[in-house]
Amino acid sequence: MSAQTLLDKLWSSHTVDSRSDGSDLLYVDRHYVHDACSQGFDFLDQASLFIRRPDLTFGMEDHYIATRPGTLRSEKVISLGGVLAKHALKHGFSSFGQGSLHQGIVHVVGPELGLTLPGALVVCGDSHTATHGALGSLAFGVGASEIAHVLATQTIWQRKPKALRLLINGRLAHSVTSKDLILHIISQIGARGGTGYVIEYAGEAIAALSMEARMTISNMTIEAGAKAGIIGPDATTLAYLKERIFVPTGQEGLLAEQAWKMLVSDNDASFDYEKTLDISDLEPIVTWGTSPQTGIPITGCVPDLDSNDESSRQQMLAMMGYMGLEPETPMQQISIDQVFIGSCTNSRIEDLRLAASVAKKGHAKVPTLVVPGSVSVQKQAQAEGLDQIFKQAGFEWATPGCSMCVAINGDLVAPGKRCVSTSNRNFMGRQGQGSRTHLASPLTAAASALTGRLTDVREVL
Amino acid sequence: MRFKPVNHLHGPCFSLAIDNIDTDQILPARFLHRSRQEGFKDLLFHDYLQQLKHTSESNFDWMHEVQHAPKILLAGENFGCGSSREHAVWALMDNGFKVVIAKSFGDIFFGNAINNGLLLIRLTDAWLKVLQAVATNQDMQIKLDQQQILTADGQTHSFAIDDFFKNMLLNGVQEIDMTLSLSDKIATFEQKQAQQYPWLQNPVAHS
Repeated sequence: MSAQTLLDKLWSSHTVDSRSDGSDLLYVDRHYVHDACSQGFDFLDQASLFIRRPDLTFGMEDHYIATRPGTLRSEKVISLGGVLAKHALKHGFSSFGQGSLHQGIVHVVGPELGLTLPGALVVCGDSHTATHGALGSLAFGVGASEIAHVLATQTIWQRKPKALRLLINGRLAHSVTSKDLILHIISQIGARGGTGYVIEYAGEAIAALSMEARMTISNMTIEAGAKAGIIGPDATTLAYLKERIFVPTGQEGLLAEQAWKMLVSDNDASFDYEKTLDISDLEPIVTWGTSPQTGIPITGCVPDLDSNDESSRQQMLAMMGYMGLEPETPMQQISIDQVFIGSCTNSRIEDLRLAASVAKKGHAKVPTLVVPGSVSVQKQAQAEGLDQIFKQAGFEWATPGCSMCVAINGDLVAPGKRCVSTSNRNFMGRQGQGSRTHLASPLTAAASALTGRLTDVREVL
Repeated sequence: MRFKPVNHLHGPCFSLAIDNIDTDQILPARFLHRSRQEGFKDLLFHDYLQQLKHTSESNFDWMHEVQHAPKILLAGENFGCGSSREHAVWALMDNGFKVVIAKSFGDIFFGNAINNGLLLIRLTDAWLKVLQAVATNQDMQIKLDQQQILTADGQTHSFAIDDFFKNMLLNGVQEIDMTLSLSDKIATFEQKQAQQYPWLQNPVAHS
């Protein structure tokens, strides 16, 4: 057999059938559904179909769930809370809703419970499903019609993407995180640089990252346009999986580990595209514009307009207009109105430990909301006293959910307000109509909370 | 599940020649709770058009004009990037758009469009010529069976489209119809996987 990439291995092990145009029918091992997937269930009901494998379908309430007592939610949004539970009861799948010990953001809970396993094919009606690829699974987001298709058939038609390998050399400097790394990668390859590809991340910088830090990388792969972001399982992956609730044990566990160790690209495998980056000199990155590709070092300035063609100039001007920024403004002179620490990108325990290490150094100058990714993360943080550190620093400590990342549960950034956010999208209006978002790491976000302006965390720590 | 087949279309083409228009711009998240039946009339580009009015001199009132002919949209690179919401496709269709021509599309958006009968055309070399043509006369014809775009000034541009997708659009058939007939093959796969990788077929909680 010729040498295979990790993508080749994941793809061929899930191919049920192929058709003449080159599309393959792929088997779905884990289908996660959340509280904003209702139209997929509507389609299923309208066609009088049922879920083929309710035992491989798992529900999680995250998008609409309230995360703090003061959250103002419309009647409509409150009523959505029961919809997922109703579908779960009707179709007989497990669902972790309000009050469950396993409630949380689907992309935090799936790996945390060991439901997401290396070699699995995972889909969910959410573009950040890419997150699960950090464990060596093939994971991607789907739309409502595809949700209905997966519910009814446990499969999905896909045309095989091309394979892109990003070799990341060097070591991240102190106070520089995997969030800075992925923002840097997107700024280098662009918001559509990965379109048509699955990106495999490899190299010494990736090998040195913890599992949670890797999830931040794969999570934001979609912001570079790629179908999925995958990382071959290694000792870090196997150690992460130990003792998790749904991870196989005993003899089956040993067999699984053997299979997982094979999930790496062969040495002589060829990729459709390969790129190498050295990140030893990488600084903390923040975005200035309304696309995730606008990341620049915190020590830098909003770009000048001279060096661009007319079309790019117009688009940059529009972004600056929306963001209320002038060309060449030093990033660290930009005052902010609030801070959000959370989302499927950066709400895991390691993210909160990082934020707390900064919160210890002062007191918030602007409203700062910290939203853990799951009940499990929330409890762990409380056991470590992180909640107390946040509260003493004047940060608000909330309960798990998507919250101010997608801003449909009542947690909003007001029009014209500027928020430093550890989430994944700075699109116009993403955090609320007229909101202005600067994407950053948990360290940068916490440091900016203490000063009330975009801040280089290295000055605080 | 079926949608109205797509083949020959004749209508006005509106240009929004901007790159990276994400699905949050096409349909803001606060409208996601609507059902397909309620629809998305007048919500297309809801906040985005207001924003464009602030920052540009162009008049985008056309977006909400009632059109009896099918509307065609011309956009730039990476149209429909971002969130997986299929609502973005529904919002375009509920406001009369049957075709989107762009330099490139977001991947999930592309799949969503095909499942609803929204024709997406990738144009690279001819994109600028089409943009210039519709700047003076918006009238345009699309012939899917011949894979051609005809502009009002007499230009004809051919476009590439996957045969399978083309047939789906011409016949108004969704993939699920075909897949349900493959249920034996799926069962065979499940049996094989249960032997080879039982942990994937049978997730068991060990607490």
